[in-house]
Amino acid sequence: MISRLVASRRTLLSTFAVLLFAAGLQFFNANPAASQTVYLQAYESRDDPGLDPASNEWARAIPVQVPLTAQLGAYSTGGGSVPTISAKALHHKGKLYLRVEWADSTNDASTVRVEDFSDAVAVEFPALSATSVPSLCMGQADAGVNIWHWRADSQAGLKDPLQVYAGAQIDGYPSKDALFYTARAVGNPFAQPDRGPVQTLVSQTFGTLSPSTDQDVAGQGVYKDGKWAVVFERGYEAKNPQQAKFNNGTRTDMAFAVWNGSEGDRNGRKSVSQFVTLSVADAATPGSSDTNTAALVWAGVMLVGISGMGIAIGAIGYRQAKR
Amino acid sequence: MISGERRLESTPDREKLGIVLGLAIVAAIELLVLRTFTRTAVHIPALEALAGPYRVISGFGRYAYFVSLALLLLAVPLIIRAGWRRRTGPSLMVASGLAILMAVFALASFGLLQAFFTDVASVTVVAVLALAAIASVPGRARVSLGCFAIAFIAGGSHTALQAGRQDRIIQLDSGWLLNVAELLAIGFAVTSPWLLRRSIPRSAIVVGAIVAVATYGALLGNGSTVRILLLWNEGLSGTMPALAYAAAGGAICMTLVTLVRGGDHLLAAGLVLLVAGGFGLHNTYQTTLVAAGLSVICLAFVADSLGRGRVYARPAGALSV
Repeated sequence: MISRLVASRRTLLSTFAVLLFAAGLQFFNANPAASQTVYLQAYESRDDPGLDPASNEWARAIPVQVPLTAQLGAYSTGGGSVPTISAKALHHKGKLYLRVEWADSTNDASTVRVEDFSDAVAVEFPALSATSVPSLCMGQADAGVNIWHWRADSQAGLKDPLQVYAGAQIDGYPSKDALFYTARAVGNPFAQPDRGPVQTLVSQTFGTLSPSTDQDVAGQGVYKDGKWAVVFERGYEAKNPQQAKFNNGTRTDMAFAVWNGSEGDRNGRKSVSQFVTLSVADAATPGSSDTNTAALVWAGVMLVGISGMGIAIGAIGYRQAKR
Repeated sequence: MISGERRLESTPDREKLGIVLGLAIVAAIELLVLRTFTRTAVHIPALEALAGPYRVISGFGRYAYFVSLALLLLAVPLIIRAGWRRRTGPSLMVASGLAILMAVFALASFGLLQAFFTDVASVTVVAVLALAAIASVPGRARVSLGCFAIAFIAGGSHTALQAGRQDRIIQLDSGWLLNVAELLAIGFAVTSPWLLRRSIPRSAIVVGAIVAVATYGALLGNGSTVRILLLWNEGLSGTMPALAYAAAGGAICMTLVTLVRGGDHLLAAGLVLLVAGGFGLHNTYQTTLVAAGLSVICLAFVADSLGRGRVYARPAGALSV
């Protein structure tokens, strides 16, 4: 059958036309497909929400539940539920605030022992310079990514190893020069807790993940009742084209990653989400009691209308065929 | 039993069948290269010598995506026409459902329809198409398609409800729907052999077993990456035991090999389109792949029942797709 098809000149011409059309679409980056993933609205907050996840401003924001890949080992607390991360977003006077929350039965904020790993969360955006949505892990040549990475151990700060290894013998250095603190001397961010618990990273294809020249994201996490809640804050503007930029009335893609230290999560071993859409709205946060009843009615009409029409057409066709 | 595909070889519309088969093949290449291989880049050593070949392969995968898009834009009107011409209940549901879906996506692309309504319409249309497909297939095959339908609807409803929540339209907790989607997606794959209209050859069993073992090993070895690929490509989180996904993968592959070897190319194409489309709402391309897959499966079984001269009258110039 295939050889007969190939022999057909019309088939060959059609095939060539399709391949040419596809090449044209790719060349002009004309992608008619649109995203249908979960989206998160960031409304204007009346007051500055700050970095406290318990701030009253967050009570008015509506969260989205974003599914994550399952973490290895036991399911998250809640018994068999699909691991998700809850995300809220607000903006206030040119700053974007993201609040993420997820269930974690253990608070892993110490990495003094080599076998310990930290709880962490990261948010990923396409870079300002990206010409298309990054479709790969860690970005691609023409579409880098900007990652905000919060770690619990960075927030907890440096711990004295004697707290863990009580019997250890540690040499003392007569000098406090950076020369004798090699991690600090080479700029290792984990050796400089005064920089804050959030690291801003950029990447443009695998193997190129590196700290951004501008470390401008603030963050704070709180562990309570078996859940982590972390707030990220950053201004809209970004000087570095490899970072993300935001503005009122714009949309961007966003993905999440969560590390559970007690499960041995680190580096690429983590739970990640798909890209979701972050929409920065011009309007203020609607009141919690405001429900768009008209839209709900229209959605119901659409649902009943489409299914009714489909079934009715099917019934008509069945009757016609029987005659 | 004459398969729908063998009867169709005598029709003048083999080229149109070729478009659907071509779509399925290219969609599979796009899934394997762009959405799977290139996303495993983090495991490829960052050597200069590998960067070039990697860029070429990922560029090819991206091109496959645009070819698949082009074929999809061609195939959908053909499927609508085929469904309309057959004049049976399920085929008319296919024609009308696909037409409505394309109209909804067109409105959304011009900004005339909010995301919530687009999502509701997408899920509803897929439900109607699934109903048409279920009505077309006999016996136990309905269980398999039913599982797919409910899995897709559950996953898609979660996305729609989240959108509705954001717009203050509806306030319902929908996380549990993801559990339903996960369970029934595996159910669909495991029961996919019930779609078969012939016995399973030994070669298909061997292929299925190899895929099952490889899947199990992959989930145990580097479970993180496999679960990431499962979420991004199929919308499944990978929360079930590894054996479930191994059985699912093996069963789907076994079914596909049986269909291809048995000459049931149209049904195989439909199944490939469902797998490439995934469960739940990702983007309009994948939703249309699912819609096309369900439509093709429906029409494949309608063609077969026409050949047996059962319920439906044979329209003049009965065509494939």
